[in-house]
Amino acid sequence: MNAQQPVSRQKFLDVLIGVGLAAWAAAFVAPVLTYVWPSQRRGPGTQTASAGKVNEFVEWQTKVVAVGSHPVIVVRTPQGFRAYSAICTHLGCIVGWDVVRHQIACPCHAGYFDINGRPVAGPPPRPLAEYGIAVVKGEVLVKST
Amino acid sequence: MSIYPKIRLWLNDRYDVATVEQFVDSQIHKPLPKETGFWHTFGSLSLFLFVNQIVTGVLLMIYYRPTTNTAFESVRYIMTKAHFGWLIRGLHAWGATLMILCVLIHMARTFFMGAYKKPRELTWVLGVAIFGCTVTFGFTGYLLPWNQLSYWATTVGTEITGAIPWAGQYLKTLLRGGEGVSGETLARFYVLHVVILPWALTGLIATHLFLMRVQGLATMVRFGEEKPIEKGHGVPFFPHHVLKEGVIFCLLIGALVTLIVLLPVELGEKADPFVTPEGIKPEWYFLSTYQLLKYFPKTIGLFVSLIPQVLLLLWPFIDRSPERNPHRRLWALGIGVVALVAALVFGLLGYISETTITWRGEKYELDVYAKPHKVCPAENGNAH
Amino acid sequence: MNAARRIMLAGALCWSAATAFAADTPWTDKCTEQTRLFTGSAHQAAGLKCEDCHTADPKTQTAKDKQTIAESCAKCHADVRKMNPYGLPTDQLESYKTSKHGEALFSKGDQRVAVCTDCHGTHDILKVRSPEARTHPSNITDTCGRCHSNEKLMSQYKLPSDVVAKYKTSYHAHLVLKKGDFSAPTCVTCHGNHGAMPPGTKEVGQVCGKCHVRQRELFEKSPHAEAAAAGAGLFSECVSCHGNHAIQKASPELFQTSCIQCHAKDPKQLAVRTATVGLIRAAMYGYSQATTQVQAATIRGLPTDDDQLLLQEVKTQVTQLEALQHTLAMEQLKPIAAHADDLVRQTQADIAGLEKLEWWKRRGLIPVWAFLLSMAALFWAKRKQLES
Repeated sequence: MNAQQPVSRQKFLDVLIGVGLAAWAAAFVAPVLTYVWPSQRRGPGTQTASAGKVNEFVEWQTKVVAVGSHPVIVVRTPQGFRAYSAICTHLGCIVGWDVVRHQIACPCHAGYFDINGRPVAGPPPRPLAEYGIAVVKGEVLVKST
Repeated sequence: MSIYPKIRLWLNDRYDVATVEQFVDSQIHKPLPKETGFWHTFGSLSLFLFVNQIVTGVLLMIYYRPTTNTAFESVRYIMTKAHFGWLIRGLHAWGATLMILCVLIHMARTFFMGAYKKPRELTWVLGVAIFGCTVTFGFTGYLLPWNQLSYWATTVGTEITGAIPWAGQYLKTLLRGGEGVSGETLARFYVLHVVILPWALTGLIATHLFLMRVQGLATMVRFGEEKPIEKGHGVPFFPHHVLKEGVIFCLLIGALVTLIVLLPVELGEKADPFVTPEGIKPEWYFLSTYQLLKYFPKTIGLFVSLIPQVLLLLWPFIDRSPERNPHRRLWALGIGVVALVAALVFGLLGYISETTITWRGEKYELDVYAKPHKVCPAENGNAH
Repeated sequence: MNAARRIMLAGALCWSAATAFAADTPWTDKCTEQTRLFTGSAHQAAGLKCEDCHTADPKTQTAKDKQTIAESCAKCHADVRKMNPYGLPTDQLESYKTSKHGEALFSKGDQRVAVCTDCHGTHDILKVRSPEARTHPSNITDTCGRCHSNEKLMSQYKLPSDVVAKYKTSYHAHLVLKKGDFSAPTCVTCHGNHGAMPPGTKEVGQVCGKCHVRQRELFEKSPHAEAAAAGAGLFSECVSCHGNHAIQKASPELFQTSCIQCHAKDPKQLAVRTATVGLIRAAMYGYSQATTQVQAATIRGLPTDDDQLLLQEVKTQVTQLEALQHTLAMEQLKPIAAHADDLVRQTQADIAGLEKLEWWKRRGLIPVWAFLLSMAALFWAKRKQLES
């Protein structure tokens, strides 16, 4: 018994070190694997966002979606989808949709933009920047161009 | 367990496995001199950090995009979207700082223990080249996040090369890939940082390690009087020395993780060539040189700042006495201490220059030479 | 220098030039200075000759009075057939006659008032859109100021002579003169050009409303609009609070200085003011606080995309409040202010959440160090074991 004790203690130490090293390796590999796994469908190169399914939109229905940190207004026209920066070119308010006039309207100073993003009434000095739209498998994707 | 003999048999039919095994075994169990202590671990720590840089660098390259339109955004992506991106970038950025620190301590250890002396002069020269490579790594890598600080520090840093007589302007243009720091500079620095420097440094380190292994570690014995380590008298590299290194590794990794979490590397603001932020300063390892340059006219300053580097490179050929023990090399000891103190003082001056400090209730503005100017509140009030 | 004197001087110059030439050369060849000025002018480009305006050698004529000048310009400029190719209107003289300038000239024969040439020049007339034209938006202020900054002249009409100087301190002038935004108003945008006259207290709101459409619309729903309609001269719409020539970018400060002009002894109304200012200030403060927090977090490299979107929405609410307060309707302001407040809180909560994550990271250091130190201890123990 007495002669065996140092041997078992030695074994115990070896096992501990082995388990420790294995844990260490796992703690290294786990974050690396999750890092490599894509965190979103597209990488950092293009900024794309989904505006939902095509059938969620009826004609002239709009939706404001975020592309990166930028709000974008998506409109379904009879000719197809259009997307514009939702930041008014006047003072930077977020624009909405005027159901009656069928125009993009700014709530702050009553600026109006037509369906081509051009300012038609009120103070906005410049047109709204247009965003690209792609309909992929029934999903409306907005991308910055 | 039983599979290894089979593989060995298969290999043995084709290669001389026994010789390889013998070589690996002799390298692993190579006895080190009894004096090998904790100060000797900084070389392996530097090597470990180099491996860390390679691994994390490769991981960062997965998401990093080196163009002016995407560099900053991709680093932002790494920091905010990629899982554990903050950790990978932190390991890379703080790893670089710690690597330079470890290389410096390793060099100081070699210097004070006289380990660079005959027959190890070339190992020292290679070591100085490794140091140069490491610092260049730091300089090129600093630009890659393309934020305000990195952009302007690089502008100031590359500007210095313009002071070299005759060739200066050409060198500067070559380095920047144009007149100013631009997307071209980013591409150049990226290529240097991820292709040229890694391979150069790998070659240098391999040669450095090879020489070290062939000649063995230096002891404190005068050269010419060294004896090979007698059987059973040395410390086996494995497991004895490796275990000692393991202890230090644990502390190093702890320090690394602590720095990443407590002093996280910032993303900063995207580089804007039209807005110069105030108080542009280089990374800490350039601070002493940066401060030294201020006290001299451009070209002279450049030569003055080159003196320590040339001295460092040629030191084994200047100090050729056989003595290694620092107590018997007071001259070298003095120069080494003075150089370290000077680097620290200049670095500190560089750090506090162009800032405002409060000392004993009085506010002082420090100019570029770190000379304090008292700020008189009343006078200040009148001026505005 | 007034225009009549200019013309006389021009005549004198021409005459002295004429004496240097042989008597038989045509009089038009002798006017070298005038010819130089005329070169490059709009009239030269249109193919006009000296004789088209000057019926004879000016030397032999007495100086024209200003009425004649206006009428001689109108010979072409009131002729639709002549002006049509250039796309120019033909009502300048008619509207000039309705202006204060024209009234004084045509009914009283006042020669000190401005006539066509005083603003447009004589030989060197340029189109309004050429940047060097006296009538270009960047120069018109100084053109008007030639007379309207002249204290001596203005005192004869009991008019202030500081209007141009005041205008130059205004936000409008900042936009026109510093930022080159020519859509911002100059003198003529509000006062008219040919038919120049100050808008009355009734019309001023309409004038401002030409550009500030939304504010005007909202103002008309306010009790102030009724007051302006009822008591003539009591409340002059926009001007009462914003001032006129020296108009500044509006800020909540305006409530402090303007409301008391009428409501100084009216605690009930002042309470409304305090509440309105409070709402706007709180929203602005919340917005700036949240912006600072989000910016700091962004620079640190925390994921703030959603917060930047929220900030954009807060900004929308704040800007809406600024316009909407023209109605003085607290019940309209309150929900927007509350929404802004909600959004600010949401942003701050989100940032706090990110901070909490950072806190967890720092907490994580404890197990990491525990693990590393025990590993170090194990290595150390193993080494000791090997040595013994």
